[in-house]
Amino acid sequence: MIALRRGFKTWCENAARGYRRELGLSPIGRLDPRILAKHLRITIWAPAEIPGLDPKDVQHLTVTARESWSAATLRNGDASLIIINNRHSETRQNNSLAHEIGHIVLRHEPAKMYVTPDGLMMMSEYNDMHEEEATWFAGAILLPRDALLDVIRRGLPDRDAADYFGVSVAVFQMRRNRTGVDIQLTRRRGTWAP
Amino acid sequence: MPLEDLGRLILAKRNASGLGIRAAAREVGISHGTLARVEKGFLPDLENYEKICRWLGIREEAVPTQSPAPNIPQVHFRREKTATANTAAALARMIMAAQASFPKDRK
Repeated sequence: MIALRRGFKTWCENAARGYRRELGLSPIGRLDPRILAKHLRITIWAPAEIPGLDPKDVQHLTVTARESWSAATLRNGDASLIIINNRHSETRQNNSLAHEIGHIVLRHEPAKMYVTPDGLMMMSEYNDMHEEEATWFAGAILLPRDALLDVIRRGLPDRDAADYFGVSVAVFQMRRNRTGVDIQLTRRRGTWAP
Repeated sequence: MPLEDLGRLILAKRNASGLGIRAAAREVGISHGTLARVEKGFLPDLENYEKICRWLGIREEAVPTQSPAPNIPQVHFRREKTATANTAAALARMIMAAQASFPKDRK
C-alpha cells in the first residue's frame, strides 16, 4: 500500500464536510457524486452521449469490453469532462465518479494520450500515487468518518449502510477497515486492547 | 511491425533464454501479470512499452512510433493496465470524439 502525504486524509474529511455544507446536506448524509460534479461545474457524459462516436464503438465499450474501463476524465483548460461507463452498477459508477472528481479537485497532472499509426490508444504513464489519492478521496467523500461512526453506532447492517450511501458493501467495509473507526469506538467503550 | 507483435517477440526471447514469465518480468521491471497479458496480445501503456522494448533490445523507433494526436488529450483513465487492440482503438476514438466536442468554454 502506498503511503499518503501527511495530512491528506484529514484534508479529505474536511473536504467531505465542506462539500456537504455547500450542498446543504447533513455532515453524515448521502452525497450523490453527480450532484457534486454539477456543483463543481464538471460535465458527465456516457459514451452514447459523445457526439460523433460511432455506435459500434459505443457497443464495444459498453457491452463487449465493459469491464475494461470505468471512467475517463478529460481536461481542457479549466473545463473538465468525465466519461462514465454507464453499464456498470450504480454503486460502481458512484465510486468511479467520486474517484475522477478526486483527480480534478486534487489537480493531478493528467497523463497524455497518444494514438499510434494503427489507431490504438497508449497512455503516457500510470501514476500509482495519484490513483491512491483519488481512491482515498472517493471513499472519504462518499463515506466520511463521521457518517461511518454514526451508522456503526446505530448498529446498521453493512448492506443497509452501503445501500444508503450508494456504495458497494466491499467499499463500505474497506472504509470501515482502513479508517479504524471500529477501533475508535471500541476504545471509547473501554474494551480495546492493543 | 504492428504493436501486437510485441507479444510474439517476448515469447521468442523467453523461449530462447529459458526464462519463466516471472523471471522475465523481473528483468523487464514490470509485474508478471502485465507481461503475461502483453505476451497474449494486450497492449501496455507507454511506460511499460518502453521498458519491454529496452528488454527486447528493440529501438523504440523500430516499432511504429506513437504519433501524438493533433492536440494531445490530457486524460485520467480508470481502466485495466492493458487492453486488447480492439478496445485500445475504441477507447482512442472515444477520447478523440469527446475532445472534439468538448471545447474549453463548455463549463
